[in-house]
Amino acid sequence: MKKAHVYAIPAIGAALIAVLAQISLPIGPVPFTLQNFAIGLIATVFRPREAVLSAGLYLLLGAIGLPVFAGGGAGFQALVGPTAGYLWFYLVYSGLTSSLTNSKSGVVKIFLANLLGDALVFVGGILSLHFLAGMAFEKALVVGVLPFIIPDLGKLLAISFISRPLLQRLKNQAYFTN
Amino acid sequence: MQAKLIGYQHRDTVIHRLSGAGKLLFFILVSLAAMISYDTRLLVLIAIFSVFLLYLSEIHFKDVSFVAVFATVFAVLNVLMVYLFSPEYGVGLYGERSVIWQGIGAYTLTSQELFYLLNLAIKYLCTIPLAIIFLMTTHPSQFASSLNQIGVPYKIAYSVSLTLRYIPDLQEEFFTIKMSQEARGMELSKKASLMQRIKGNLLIITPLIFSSLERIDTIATAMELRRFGKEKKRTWYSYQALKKGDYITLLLATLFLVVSLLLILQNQGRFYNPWK
Repeated sequence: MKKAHVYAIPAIGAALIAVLAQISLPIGPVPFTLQNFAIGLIATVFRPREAVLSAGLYLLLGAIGLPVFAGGGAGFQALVGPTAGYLWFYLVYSGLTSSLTNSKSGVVKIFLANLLGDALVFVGGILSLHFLAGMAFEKALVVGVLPFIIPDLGKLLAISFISRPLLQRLKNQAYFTN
Repeated sequence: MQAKLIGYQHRDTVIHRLSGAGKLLFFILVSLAAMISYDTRLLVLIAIFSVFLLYLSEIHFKDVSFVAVFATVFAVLNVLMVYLFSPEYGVGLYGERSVIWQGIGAYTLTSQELFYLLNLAIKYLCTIPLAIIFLMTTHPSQFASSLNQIGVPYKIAYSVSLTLRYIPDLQEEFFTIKMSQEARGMELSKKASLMQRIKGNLLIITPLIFSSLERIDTIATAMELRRFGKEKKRTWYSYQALKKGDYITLLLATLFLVVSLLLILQNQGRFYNPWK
């Protein structure tokens, strides 16, 4: 594998996450953005190191002030505020899911790996709502998890069905060959 | 997503002439100070200073109005959210309860809660201008060298530069694909049904993802051919050494942070309590 891949891949990955995070579909009361869809896709398609670097690079850009988080949020406060847990656990999501999948994984395996990763993001969300926003665990669950379950399942399905043809198409690139 | 992410605008101001590293450190330190403290007096001072810096940078509101409005809406939603979930959080913090409005059920309105929410709002007023200033007065090529100057490995710093380079490319590609699909009869406005819009957005996002990831090999190969990463260090075309203005900037930032920490001691906590 080319050495430059280690740095080019996370850069494109972070750029893709940043662009998709700004896309918002007008569905239901909860804002439906593609931020965690993008994280999940990068986690599925990339290898663990590049997937985590992509997510880390994305967080770094947000931290230094670029309005790349969903809803145009930016700056340190997003990383230490009540919803910071979701953002930090994207690192966990990308690391875990990418280590559970490879370029030959089937749709079901991809879906389950992303389901597990996304569940951990919710764990992070509950933790930050509890410890940083002073919210009771039950309330954090009601507010921070339940409204997002159905939209997120939809995103996981989309990730699962897009990943297969995507990996097929990228087969002629050295990085995506296993 | 019609507006571009805000970007560099060339002008010859004292802020533009500072090095990117100095500005980045200033932004980080002052943001830290504003984050740590809930002392209203310090927050107001930082907020006023931030707005003054905007003026000094010759950044006009129309240049940043899209992002500013977006960030403001986001901040307002955040503040409202805090109230919705903890309507009397301020009462617990400040130890007094002055009811302005009895409200409905748990949703009273007290001076203490208002004061707390005011502090939250001012925090946004402190940090959003600083972020905008840093982004609009620092040439993108200097971003990477700035990060390297403050200790980030140059390869990581270069990834940041690459990301900044490709965000506008991907945005432009998004619009190109969208217009192509609409030219083929795809309906995305409110006239279309929900399912139609979902399908339509997928038809835009899928080719965007494919074309984005396909360019990886091209970029990596080009970098290899130019011997990227061969040495432990590298030089920077856009490097700018720290000068007197930068040291003054850093001193000022450190001062804010120190004052922030000292006020914690004086207030016996992070909160300035006018009811004590």
